Amino acid sequence: MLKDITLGQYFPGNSPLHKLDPRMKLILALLFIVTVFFADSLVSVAIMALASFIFVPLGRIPLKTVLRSLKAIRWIILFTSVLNLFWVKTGTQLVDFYFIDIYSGGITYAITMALRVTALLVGSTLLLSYTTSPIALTDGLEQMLSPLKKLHVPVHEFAMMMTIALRFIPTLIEETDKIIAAQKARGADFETGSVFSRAKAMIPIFIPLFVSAIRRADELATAMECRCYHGGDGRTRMTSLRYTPRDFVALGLFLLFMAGIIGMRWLPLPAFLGM
Amino acid sequence: MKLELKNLSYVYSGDTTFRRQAVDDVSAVIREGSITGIIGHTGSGKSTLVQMMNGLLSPTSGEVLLDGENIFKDKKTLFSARFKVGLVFQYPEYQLFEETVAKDIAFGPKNQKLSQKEIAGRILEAADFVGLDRELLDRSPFDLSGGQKRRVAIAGVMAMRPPILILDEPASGLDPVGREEIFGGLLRYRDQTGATIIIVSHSMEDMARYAEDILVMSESRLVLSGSRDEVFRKADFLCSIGLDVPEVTHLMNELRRRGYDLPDNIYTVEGAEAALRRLKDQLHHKEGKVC
Repeated sequence: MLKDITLGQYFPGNSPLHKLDPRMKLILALLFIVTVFFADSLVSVAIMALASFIFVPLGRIPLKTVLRSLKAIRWIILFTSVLNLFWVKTGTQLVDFYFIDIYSGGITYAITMALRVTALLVGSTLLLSYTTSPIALTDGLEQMLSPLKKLHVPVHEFAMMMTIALRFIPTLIEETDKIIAAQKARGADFETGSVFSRAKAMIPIFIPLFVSAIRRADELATAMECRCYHGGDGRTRMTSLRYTPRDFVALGLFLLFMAGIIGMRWLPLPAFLGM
Repeated sequence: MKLELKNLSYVYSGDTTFRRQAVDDVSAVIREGSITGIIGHTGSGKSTLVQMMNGLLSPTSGEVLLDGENIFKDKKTLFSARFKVGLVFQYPEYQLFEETVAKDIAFGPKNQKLSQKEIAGRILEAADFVGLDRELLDRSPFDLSGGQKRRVAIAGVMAMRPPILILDEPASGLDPVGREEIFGGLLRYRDQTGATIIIVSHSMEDMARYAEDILVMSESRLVLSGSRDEVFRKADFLCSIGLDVPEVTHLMNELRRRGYDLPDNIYTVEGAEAALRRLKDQLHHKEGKVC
């Protein structure tokens, strides 16, 4: 039952997006997010939201999957939009019903907000989680942050911790499934009873799970020591990250796009499209 | 209690591209009071099959009948089936969680809503079945050795006194002494309660020694079933589906192929020893006549 949860949904592939250097993708994602917040008119946000879907064919990710992830956060989108709908009081008043006042500015802002969240989610997940393996992502982060090593920040160790944590998510999910089945076989009941008794019924799951997580950590530490692992100093990689012309082309295109979006701030737009 | 499987099928991830048929139309009757072995390759559907036997998994189609009653009939029947069909998973020692061994064994009987007094009796009884020292009952289960932990976990299921006890690889990862202790406990449980025992195992040696009936699973299907002798006599078939017969049976078959007069139903080292002694006596006898 827990297997249905998809975490770090990486789609292995060989698309142009997959081939970008993970560091470049991190930079692009950051720039993308910044641009989304710079885009302040309905038109520019709408362009951003549409643009974020360009990554769907570029990364050869099934559109269905992307829409499903949007569906998962539809309540967040709806909530932020509706909140803005009642809060923003600019433009002409359209509805005046007791305490409910809706202004034209509120409607524009609500739509802008929904599009902005959509653009943020689609853009960043497509650039990062769908098309970059968690390992590549942590590798990229480690290399980008490596200048911090000069300040004695244990960058490599943090990256290693992240890699290990990501690696063990599926293992622990599988383990949880097994433990639940085993305790159910002994008549454990997780489905009926008050909230309190249901919480108590979790003890037979959590204790074995923690015990096994600690045991695994211990075994992994031993195995790493057996292979003479001693942290980041002097460690080389089998595949070192290297920027290719492709990365700079992507960056150049993206900067152009960003300039265009920001430039739209000075375009004379009709009032209902602006803010 | 009679356990009957009727056209059981199970499909994982039914309507997606990951669809996989784990169990395909399996029908069988488990003989009451028998020790029945289930053998099969990894991924042949054994584990899915046993999880349907006590209702942890609901079959995609088919029925599991306990004394003629389908356990999937309604929620109540389904819940009570878990106590009638005890299931011990592989590496059960990883599911221990209580402060003391006694409390952990008591988990099942407590869920059965038995009285305090009865639970106390069940704990002692179960500890005796698996040959667990009573002094260990007040210790933390996490302080015990691997073999002891395994026996505590098995005792935890035996304490519910299920008329049918299923164990998935009960002896895997244990040394020969540990294996003996586990199987000794299972035999004691069967002899004293008259329960049916079903053992899933990879070890042909263990099967040859303890199982009376054997079901053979291959690629989600039940491909062979019968008494131990009937199944192990088909050595060629077992090898063709990637399984095996006990080492000693291979040796006997090879000797027979080379012209020695040996029976074809030898699966244990003890049996082989006896047969070879008989053969030796026969040959001696013949030689005596010749000279």
